[in-house]
Amino acid sequence: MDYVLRTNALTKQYKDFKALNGLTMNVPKGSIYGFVGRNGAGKTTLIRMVCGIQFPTDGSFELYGVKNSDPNISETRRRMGAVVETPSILPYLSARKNLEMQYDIMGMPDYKGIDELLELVGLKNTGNKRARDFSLGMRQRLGIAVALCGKPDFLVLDEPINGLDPQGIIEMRELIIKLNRENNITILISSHILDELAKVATHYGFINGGQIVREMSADELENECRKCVRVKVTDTAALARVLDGMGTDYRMIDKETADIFASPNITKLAFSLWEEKCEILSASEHDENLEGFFISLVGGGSNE
Amino acid sequence: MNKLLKVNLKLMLRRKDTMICVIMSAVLALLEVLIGKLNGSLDWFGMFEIPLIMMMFMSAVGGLFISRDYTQNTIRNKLTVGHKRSHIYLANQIAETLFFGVCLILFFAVSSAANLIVIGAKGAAASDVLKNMTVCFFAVVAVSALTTFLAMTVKSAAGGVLPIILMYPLLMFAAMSQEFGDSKWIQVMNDIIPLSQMTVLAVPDKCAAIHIVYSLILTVFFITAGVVNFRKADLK
Repeated sequence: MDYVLRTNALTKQYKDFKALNGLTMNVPKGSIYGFVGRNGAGKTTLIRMVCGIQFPTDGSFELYGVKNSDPNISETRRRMGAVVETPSILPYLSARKNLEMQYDIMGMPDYKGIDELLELVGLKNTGNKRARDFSLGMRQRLGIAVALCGKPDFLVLDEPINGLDPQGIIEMRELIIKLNRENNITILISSHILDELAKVATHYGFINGGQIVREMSADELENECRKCVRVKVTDTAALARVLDGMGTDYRMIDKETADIFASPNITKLAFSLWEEKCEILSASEHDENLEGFFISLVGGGSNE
Repeated sequence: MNKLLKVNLKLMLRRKDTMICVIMSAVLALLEVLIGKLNGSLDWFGMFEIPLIMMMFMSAVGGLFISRDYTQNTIRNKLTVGHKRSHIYLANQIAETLFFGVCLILFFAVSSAANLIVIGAKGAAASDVLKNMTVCFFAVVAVSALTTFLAMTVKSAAGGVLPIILMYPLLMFAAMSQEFGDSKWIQVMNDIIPLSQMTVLAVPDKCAAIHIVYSLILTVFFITAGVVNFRKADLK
């Protein structure tokens, strides 16, 4: 698999606080990588390092195979765009002028493509209205348009839907999916709004205490979060034999618990287990979403 | 770096505060001649009292221009697309020096033209006036380097306020020399500090070469220290 971004034991120490503690993650090419973690988990610190805004104290990362210590990393960064926390825009200029400035910063030969970008983010009809008079959603979209100047193939979005109204969230979601599917842009997106993230992400990285605690694809996550009946029995080997005999999909959790996917005929199952001298101690419906999975992964304690 | 410089200059041309500063330079030149004429004290060296006042608003506006890159987070747009930090710093420094330089040159041009019209070429040797102008120019370049250094180091709107606050301690030695006479070390400090240099330009400068060398040393020092510091700095 090709990776756009790979980090290796990345560490960032601020005096007596470790924001990143040996973080290792891999962002596959073409993915929408959902970066999930509590406040202060290290998401923004990692994004700042990838963007060249901060430096690691230890470890390394590779962007398109170019190490952060390689002098060519600056050149490689031309292939990426980013919106870190708040959109980086000039409030006293219109949307078009903001994009023209970014084109100038990148040294583009002309301003071709600006209309296309404005249309893509839905700001084509803003005319001479200054960015300071834009709504929060419009500013976010302008920030993304600025990040898309120069047609990057890797886009980093830090909390892009923070503070947006429901309509703004829907528009942002559609834009992210469009950029990924139609423009083949790999997107690294950090968000606290997990239900929203679940609607777009193809891969996930769960971060806690400056470390990645789990990396998985959306399919793997779906598999883990599938609706099931969680049963606790006295003999899981007997349970496995019975379920195999019934042709039912299941997963063993521990020595006495298993998740049974699909809806089994409980009477038939109970009777078969009784014949195997296995008792059902408890049975409950189990349905986990991304939020529940995240909490079960990192614990539900305070994030202070 | 050319791309960044082009953007900086474009933004300076768009900003009202920078353009007002440029216009103010011409207005101050005319005012100085007008007031001198009305007071009957107009001479060619009177013009050198004004650049000190110009430094106040030019440092504030110039410092704010650079610090806006941090307050509006637009510095991220430059870093994320792969511009080297030293290039970002130097582009800001050159833009700042051009801004200070253009204001000063415009002031000297308008002031000289007005002086020529009102009092003609009498009362001062052209070489003395040109020498003072050169000293003043290099002192202003040194102040622009200090302003850029402060704005790029504090990384906030304070970058526009600090240069004004610093004016007072920097002028302290000029005031001390008036109060305590010509003590050797006060004299040396006055020779080194660009703002103190400006206070002695009301007469032909006898140490022009030394003043220019000190200004150049300060300019190189602040630019080098600024680039080294910025290359290692963690930004937000």
